[in-house]
Amino acid sequence: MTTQTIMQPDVQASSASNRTGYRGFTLGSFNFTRDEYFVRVTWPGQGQQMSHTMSADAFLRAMMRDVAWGFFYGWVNFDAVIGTRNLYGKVELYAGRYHPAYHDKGLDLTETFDSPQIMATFKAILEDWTNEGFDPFAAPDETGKDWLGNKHGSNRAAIERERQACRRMPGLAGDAPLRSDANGYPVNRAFADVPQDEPEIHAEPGFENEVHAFSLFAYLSRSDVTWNPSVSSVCGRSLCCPTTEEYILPIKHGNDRVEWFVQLSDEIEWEIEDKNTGAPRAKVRMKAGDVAAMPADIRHQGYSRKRSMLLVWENATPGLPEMYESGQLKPYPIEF
Amino acid sequence: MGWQDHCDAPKPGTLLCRIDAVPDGACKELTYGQGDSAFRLLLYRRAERVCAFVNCCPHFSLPLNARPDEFLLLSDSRIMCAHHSAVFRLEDGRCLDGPARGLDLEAVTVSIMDGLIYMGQR
Repeated sequence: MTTQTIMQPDVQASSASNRTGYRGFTLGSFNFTRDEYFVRVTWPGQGQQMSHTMSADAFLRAMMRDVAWGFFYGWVNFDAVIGTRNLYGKVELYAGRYHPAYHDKGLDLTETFDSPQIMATFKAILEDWTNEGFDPFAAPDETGKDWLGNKHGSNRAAIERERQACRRMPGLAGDAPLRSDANGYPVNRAFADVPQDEPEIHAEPGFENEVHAFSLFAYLSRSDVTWNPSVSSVCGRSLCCPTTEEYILPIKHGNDRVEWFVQLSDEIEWEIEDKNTGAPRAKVRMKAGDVAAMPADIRHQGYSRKRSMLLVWENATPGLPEMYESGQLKPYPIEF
Repeated sequence: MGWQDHCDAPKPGTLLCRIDAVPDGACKELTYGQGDSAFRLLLYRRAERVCAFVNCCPHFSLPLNARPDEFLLLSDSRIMCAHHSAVFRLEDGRCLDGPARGLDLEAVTVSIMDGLIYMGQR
């Protein structure tokens, strides 16, 4: 029997800077600091102190997704240099591992942490560095510029908002509710023209509790966040995770399985790169009705100039990453 | 649809295991049926009390553990799902943090008699 020990996450944080008010954080050999505009990540490499700088708003948007998604499936690249890989129980934090300029010279670093430890640290960073008035889940047009400057306040309500999921489908008895004005989900400004009527269900007698339907367009028109797939139907290991997208996907998601994308409205342009090197592989422009399969060996980042609706179809079958890594499954679902 | 509808779920009165097969303060998984659709039962023991849940995180409908009998236990009788870090209270299955907030673990009634754990009330 495996011994189970109780984990005690221990967040290593400095006192607040006298100049900016922000705290610095340490996780393993990595250090995280921020100032008025920038986040700096440092790590040891070949006897040197390596560093990488990101704009604080981009960093916070990326970290918000990593925290909200619980490290998601596979790799969450904050940019081309730093990111995390979910090992399901443990998480790798890396700098330069998937950037040839660092990796080929041995200047990269990867360290592995228990999931509770890295999650506690990331949440502490997110809470300390997100100022009042900045919502890292929101489109730029829907939040302020409060990400910049010295520390002023916090925004726990935004970073700890309930993430929606469901057991089978929203609206079923005992399941997640449908979105409405009454429960805090008004129609988004970009979807004011989306019909809000719901389908009528006429079930045969005896099947009244076994048939359910709702308008996915109406449901999505009330999404309050961007780039945040939420489970909206569960059928075995098949998960439909629709989401609304505006501006730039704040991370480059490196797949550990095939993901299917169905563009439900408007348009998204995807940049597809090799998962390990970042070498460009494709550009895909998806318009309403287009379907694409993101292979298991790429990383992708999306650009949506107007808020759009996207259905992400996930395969939650346990053991898939190992099947792709071993070559048992090809990284793409079909061959031409 | 509840766990009672799962065709592989043990019937009430079924002997599950001895209480000392579940270490104090730890979890144990019992599996009924074959393959991916098997019924997975999670037992958590605190002294002489045992709580039971369907081992299925309501976030992505995945087991709380990624490897056999490897659970991410936290202080205060909490557990973190290994897949996407949802945190649940093991006393009652309540989701306290993470992407499954608002959805709790599905509780299963078990009872203890003479050091043995049974499904349902006895």
